[in-house]
Amino acid sequence: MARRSVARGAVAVTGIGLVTPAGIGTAENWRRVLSGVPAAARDPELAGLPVDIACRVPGFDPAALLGRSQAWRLDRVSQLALVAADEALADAGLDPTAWDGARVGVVLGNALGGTASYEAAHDAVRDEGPGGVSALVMVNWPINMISGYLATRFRAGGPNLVVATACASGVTAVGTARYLLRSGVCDVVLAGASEAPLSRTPMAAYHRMGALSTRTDDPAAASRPFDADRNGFVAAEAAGVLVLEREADARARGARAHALVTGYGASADGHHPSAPDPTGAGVERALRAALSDADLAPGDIDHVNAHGTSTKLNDLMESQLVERVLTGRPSVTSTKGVTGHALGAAGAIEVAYAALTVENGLVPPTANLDKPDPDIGVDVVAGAPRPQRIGAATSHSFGFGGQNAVLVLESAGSR
Amino acid sequence: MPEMSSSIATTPVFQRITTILDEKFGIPREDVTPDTVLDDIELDSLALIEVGLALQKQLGAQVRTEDLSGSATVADLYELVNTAVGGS
Repeated sequence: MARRSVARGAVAVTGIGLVTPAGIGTAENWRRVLSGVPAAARDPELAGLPVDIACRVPGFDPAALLGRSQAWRLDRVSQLALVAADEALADAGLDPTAWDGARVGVVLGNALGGTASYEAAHDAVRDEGPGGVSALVMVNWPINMISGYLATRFRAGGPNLVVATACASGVTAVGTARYLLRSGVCDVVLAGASEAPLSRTPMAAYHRMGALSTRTDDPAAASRPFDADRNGFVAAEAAGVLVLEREADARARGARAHALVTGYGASADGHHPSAPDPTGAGVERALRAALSDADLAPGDIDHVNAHGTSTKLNDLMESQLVERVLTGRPSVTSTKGVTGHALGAAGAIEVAYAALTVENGLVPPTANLDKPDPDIGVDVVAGAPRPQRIGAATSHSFGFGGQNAVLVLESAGSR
Repeated sequence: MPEMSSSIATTPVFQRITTILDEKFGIPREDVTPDTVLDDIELDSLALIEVGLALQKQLGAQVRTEDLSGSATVADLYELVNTAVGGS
């Protein structure tokens, strides 16, 4: 195992930063997802919409966390990412004032851009005319700005991009970052994703297409992956940032690795704009590609952090995928029961949770799994955290557009 | 110039500017004097358009901050605002 990881250029996760509905900071996030207590609640800013429940980051105060200037200059989607990146770098023990920034890349995922900035500009044009529009809209609405702000804050002068594969964006970002490290283009990559979708327009639109849970009378029970009574996802805001380095580099500087990223696979369904291909052929290609990249057999996977959105179609299709391909009967969890679905950021925070799961040997329970769907036969962890020694795990993300991405994580200590 | 600077610092228009900079733009009052260079309090060209928009909404007069250079001071901003509201 050791020879294989080094030879194939395993990438180490040396820093984690999380800003999610489960809390600000990795320690608080880990406690909350292990508790299985859902974050969804009625959201005053969505009052009057047919679905007015969502998962917000509790107590997020950008002025206190980033300074008063960043509080008004930046859209929330960038603020979330900056706070997560601050934590990830501190966790990795890296000092941006001391590094060669030309060798540091930033790859983030995002789906919707600065939704609040866009909505404010739209309202200003309508109500005040073009002269009422903020001059900062075009440095906040476009999705590329998120990684641009990280480059500015951390003097990260290497390749800098935001990738968009809808709800797979976070995993796509980590997979892309791995390419930059393995090819030698970068020595360090800040990889992850951010999403701040809780504005009225996207929330109304997700509801119109039937994607959101309509359990507005009982928000805490609304996100219930793999449960028989699931009826859609609960939207969330979040950011997750990982510090990634080649394993050999991390080892050379004495850095602690939470886990290793050893495989990545991506594919497209080519089937439908929003519905998953019920045959699962596309997601299976991504999963098998990730296994092949990691040089692992399907039976080697001990654990799955599922996409598990709490929609009827995804959870059934995904459980069938796991049963069909991963022959070692892995434990399965969906942390979305706690966090809700952070769309483009979901993959990033879930890769972080998967890394912590591998590192700690403890699988977080899937919240709200009260009545397992009889058509779902995988081993979903529910009720309480389950201790499990995990050598290898997968983290799945599937996006609208039929875009699929899977990562393989392995224990840093098992080699 | 120091005399002129200190004399404008007590005017209602100057007070209005420092209040907006403090409350909307996170720049503490104590950091703002007439001689403060706008760049030094991180008011770049885009931020100045925002400041102009905020002043315009409060004062009901058009403030064209686009004409300010990078080395402009708060006193220069004051002159723009003062002219816009019809002061001397």
